[in-house]
Amino acid sequence: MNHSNAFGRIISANSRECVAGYRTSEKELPQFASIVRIPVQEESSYQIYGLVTDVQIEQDDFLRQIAAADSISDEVLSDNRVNRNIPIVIRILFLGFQNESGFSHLLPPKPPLSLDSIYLCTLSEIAGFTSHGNFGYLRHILRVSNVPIAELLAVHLRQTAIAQTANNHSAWIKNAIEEIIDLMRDDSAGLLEILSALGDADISME
Amino acid sequence: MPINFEQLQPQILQSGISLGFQIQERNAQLQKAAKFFRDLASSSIDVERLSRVLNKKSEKRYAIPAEALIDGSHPADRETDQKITILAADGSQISPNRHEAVSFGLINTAIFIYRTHSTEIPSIVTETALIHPDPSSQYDDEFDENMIALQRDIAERKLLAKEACQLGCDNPVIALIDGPLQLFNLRQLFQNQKKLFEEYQSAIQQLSEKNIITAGYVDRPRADYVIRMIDFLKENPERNIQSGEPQFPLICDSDIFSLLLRPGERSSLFNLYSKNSMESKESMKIFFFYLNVGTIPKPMIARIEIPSWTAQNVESVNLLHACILEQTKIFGIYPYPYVLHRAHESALINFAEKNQITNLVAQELSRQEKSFFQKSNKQIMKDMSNRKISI
Repeated sequence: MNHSNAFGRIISANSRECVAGYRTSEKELPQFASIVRIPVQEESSYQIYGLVTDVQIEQDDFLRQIAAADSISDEVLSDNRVNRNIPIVIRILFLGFQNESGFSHLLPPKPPLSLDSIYLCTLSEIAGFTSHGNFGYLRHILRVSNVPIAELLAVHLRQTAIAQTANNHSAWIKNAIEEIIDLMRDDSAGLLEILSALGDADISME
Repeated sequence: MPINFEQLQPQILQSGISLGFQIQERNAQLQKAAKFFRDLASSSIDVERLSRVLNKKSEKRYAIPAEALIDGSHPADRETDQKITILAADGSQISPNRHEAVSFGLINTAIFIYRTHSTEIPSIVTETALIHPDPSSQYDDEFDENMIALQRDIAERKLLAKEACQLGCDNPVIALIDGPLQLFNLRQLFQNQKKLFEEYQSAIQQLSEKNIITAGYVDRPRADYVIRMIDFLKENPERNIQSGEPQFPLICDSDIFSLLLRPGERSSLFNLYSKNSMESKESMKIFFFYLNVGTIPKPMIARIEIPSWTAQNVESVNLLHACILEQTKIFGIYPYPYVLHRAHESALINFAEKNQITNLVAQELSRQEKSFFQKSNKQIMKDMSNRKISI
């Protein structure tokens, strides 16, 4: 199991999603719609796959006060970014899981535990998870609330298309879009919104 | 039981009326005291004689002029563009509570180290000490809230001295404490704690030997050391000051200096007289000045306490003045030194941490004594009442 790219820890979780804290001092900010995996500490072969649906930078009144100052010195800036315990809060939607039997696009049987680590998936991990089965994980994305689903899907498909192409599955993106059209056939307004976002996503279909 | 707002309303009204009358009286006292202060400034004060008389007659703390001009107002005389290392100390504590599962004390001390005009990331040093009751001790007060607060104050000074003295840098070093520099009533509090008193003296001695610019920052000071001096000097200083009623009970020093000091200016230096200071070593003597960290429509006065070795060096006082002013500007309309607030944040023990430490101590004791520790019934019921249940 690859343990590089750990970037945050679970703060709270339920059966559908979790919230993770991420220190601003860490270098790479996880991007919106990134696919992540969460190895569950107690079981070595069990890990949950999820999608970053929101990245929120927490505020406190102290930061507001500093932001209102005429100028901020480099020392104050670095102190607040490195030393102060103000995390970036990331919301992760569960897409499925992996255990000794392989991948599943059903919701994970149990959520991760507090302070479990989160890892960014590599291209081959993304390709492995998303090419399993028949796009079952898209169900979870399409029914998520309080998230711009069209934007989320567009960014996800663009990133995954790159991973699939790198793994010689260039037909994956066409099949994925056909699956979305099929799933959204009773919601023409929602489908148009998704197709419009996909148009802006500049996805290569080759 | 909810608050009885019906009963409270007329009381609030009455307190507002009383306050209104008090403000008129206070303004009158302020004008009178300011005039006496200016009159005193134009005459010469015999400081030697004043000290002698106070030493004989007073148990209170007074300001004694340390400069010929007592109503001086000095602007910050330089831009603090030079590199300065500032160390700020603060501490927090858990006081023993017999209703908790285990009764213990804990002191957490933090030093925030900040280098101005550098790209260096500030660093934080913390020290945490668990305090157990000593069953063999003959003194009950060793484990009480006041004694733990005092131990915290000493821990702050010790860690500040340790970190400041081991810096070994060429740039000036400023060591800041939140609140008064002097620990008052030291002798009474330390009557059973000779070791603590020696630790306190040793920390001050270390700072003194390294000639580190040291200061205590007192926000919104309510002391009346200068007012007492005015009150004392405006009549015959030989009078019996123990029996004399104060003439300006409604005002404090900061009221006078908010009239005298423009934004960014500091007052002249004063020596803080007390019975203890007369008997203590030179390095333990405290001086102070007032500083207006506010703006023209809204003066805000802070008192800066400094030890004798800092007070004797005008360059140090000027550097400290400019540095504190620069620090207070970071927070804009709420001027307060950034470094002190960060030291406070670093030292603070929050509620979750307190619970975690309590659990760790209880678990260890349970493991050793094979018995179960739990909160008192009173505390359990209080916690239940405070807990919000969402369904």
